[in-house]
Amino acid sequence: MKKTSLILAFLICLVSCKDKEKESPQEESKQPEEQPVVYVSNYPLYYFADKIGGEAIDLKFPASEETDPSGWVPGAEQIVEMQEADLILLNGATFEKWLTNVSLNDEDMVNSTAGLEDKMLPLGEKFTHSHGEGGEHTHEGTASITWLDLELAIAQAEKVNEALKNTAPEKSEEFQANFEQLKNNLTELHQNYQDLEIDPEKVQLIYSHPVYQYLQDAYRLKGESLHWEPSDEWNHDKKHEIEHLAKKGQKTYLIWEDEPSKAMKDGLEEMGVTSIVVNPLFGQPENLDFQEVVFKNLQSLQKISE
Amino acid sequence: MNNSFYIAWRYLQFHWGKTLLLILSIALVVFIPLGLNYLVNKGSEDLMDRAEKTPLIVGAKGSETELSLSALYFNKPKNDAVEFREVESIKEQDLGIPIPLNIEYQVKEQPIVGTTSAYFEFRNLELKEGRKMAILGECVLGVNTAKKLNAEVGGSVISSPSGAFDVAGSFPLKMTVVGILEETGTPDDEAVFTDIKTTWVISGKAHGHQDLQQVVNDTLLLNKNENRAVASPAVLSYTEITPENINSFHFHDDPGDYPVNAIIVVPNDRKSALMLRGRYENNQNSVQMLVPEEVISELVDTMISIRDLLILAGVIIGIACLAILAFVFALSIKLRKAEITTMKHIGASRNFVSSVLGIEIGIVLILAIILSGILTLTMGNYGIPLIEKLIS
Repeated sequence: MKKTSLILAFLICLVSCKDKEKESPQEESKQPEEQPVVYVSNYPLYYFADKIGGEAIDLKFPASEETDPSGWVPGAEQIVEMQEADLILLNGATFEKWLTNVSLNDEDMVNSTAGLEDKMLPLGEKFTHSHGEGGEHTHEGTASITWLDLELAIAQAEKVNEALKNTAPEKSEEFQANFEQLKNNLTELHQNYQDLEIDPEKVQLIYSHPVYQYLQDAYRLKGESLHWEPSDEWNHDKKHEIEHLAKKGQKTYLIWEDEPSKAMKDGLEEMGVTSIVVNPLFGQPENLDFQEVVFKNLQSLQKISE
Repeated sequence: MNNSFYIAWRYLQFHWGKTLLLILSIALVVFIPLGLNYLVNKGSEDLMDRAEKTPLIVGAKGSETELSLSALYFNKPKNDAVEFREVESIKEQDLGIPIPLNIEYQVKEQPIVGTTSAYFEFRNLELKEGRKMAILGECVLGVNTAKKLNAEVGGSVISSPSGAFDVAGSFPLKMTVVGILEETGTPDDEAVFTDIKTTWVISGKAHGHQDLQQVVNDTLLLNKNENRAVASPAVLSYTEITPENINSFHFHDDPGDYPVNAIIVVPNDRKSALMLRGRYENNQNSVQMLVPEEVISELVDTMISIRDLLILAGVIIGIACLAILAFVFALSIKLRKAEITTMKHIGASRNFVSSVLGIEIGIVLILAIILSGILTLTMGNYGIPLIEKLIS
């Protein structure tokens, strides 16, 4: 009996080994597909590329740790890595100020706002200087937070989709389906933003920084801009500035990039100025994604229109 | 036969001076047409090889040969530069990859080639050590340039003024060496490669200086308000690009206006090449597109015509020289009449005497042919770089 069970055990072992041998070539053939390496320069592009490309691409966002990736300056080693990339997605509109100082292959780079030059807005500030033989010249910037106009954001996502399809044509259908879904969501949000009804006769908007040009232009949310940081202290100068700006007979809202200090908020409240936060999505938001932040911004703005 | 050879050899050895003179004279007569033919053929092959590997070149209208030699051999450009927007225009057409070349400046005698990393891929250039340039102010050296400038990775090289009377025109920029290329046996070994934007810094089109909005020293500013600042000549541009000052570098005006001496265009396919050529042919502006293979082929044809004339002259001179040599041999036999008579008196047959004289002539001719062969091979190895140097 013992002998029979031993033989049986040996036979089972042999059969299972043979099965494993049969499986192994199949496993070998299931080698992971090579993902194209895609670099992005800011969070909105990261979000679009991630939503459209998903697992099919190896997505890299080297400035992800930066609070404001527009001020990011890549080191030589990072540029060397980017030179090996299959695709580099850029925001354009002077967002990537480092681009003039680096050596990257033009063929690998895709500017997501190329062809949208007529929709670009000026920064609103210019500085003229002269030196040496060159004579007088002006440094005037283009506003670069383009995605706050969701119509532009959709156009940028479309550019990302086209670029990914060119990089990995075999995944075109998958990318297109992902893009369509993203486009529908963004279009719905854009529609909601367009439905905002803020009467400029009754409501005055002040922006803490001149970074909301596209939001103001796309959704009729015109207002003057300050150069205030959410971490700034409430003081006499700030009070004087608000006194100078605030118009009588209008409800005033100050739109911040991030939650201001309690003292600042209270000081403004005393002057009848309500603080609200509209996150311009400079960097990667914590715990939320692009659409969630845009929706949260919408909710803040809806409070004004109520 | 052995005896005849021995006597002939001993005779030549005894009269070594006369023998050497004869061998040298005959070797040179054979070498001139042979060497010239070899040299021109090898030179033509090398010229054509680089031209054939370069599909299309765009540049300012003017001498096609100058434009081709600038783009292929980094000769100092004699034609005008075209605007960088020409590169952007080719890119927009999506018919090929444009590779800009700015060859205006030098480090000592070595040409600075301002281009993009696409040039390295196009020419299949491999790095012997280091890496490709990544940021403004970095450069990669050809292997011969590294030797000539005694530069290594981590070191630096400084651009020279573009001319003796241009001491203030271009920018003496200190560039960091980040890589050295493998030897290719082409003009790439002699170049200093950098990003095209770095050559614009050298030209002064782009520069970096102190932030004039932050300057507090009154001697640096002639005038300043919120929107405008006028710097005094005391504000100097940086002569080296470092991580600390790189962000102060900025470009004036539209970079589309900036100069490019030549553009290599790698078309997507034959049809794209034809479409591009057609567009430039109908183009009435000051830009031309050429096929370097055709231009260099014309240059080679001219070289071959000159070669043929020189060979013809060499052959005529050779025939005259051989006639003189025959005359010299005949005279020599006449002068050696007493020696030949002695040989006959001691028992040498007529055939033996003839064979001794024949072997003497044969040895001289064979040694002359061997020498001319050696001269031709030497010319093949060292003459081509010499010709390339003469062309550049």
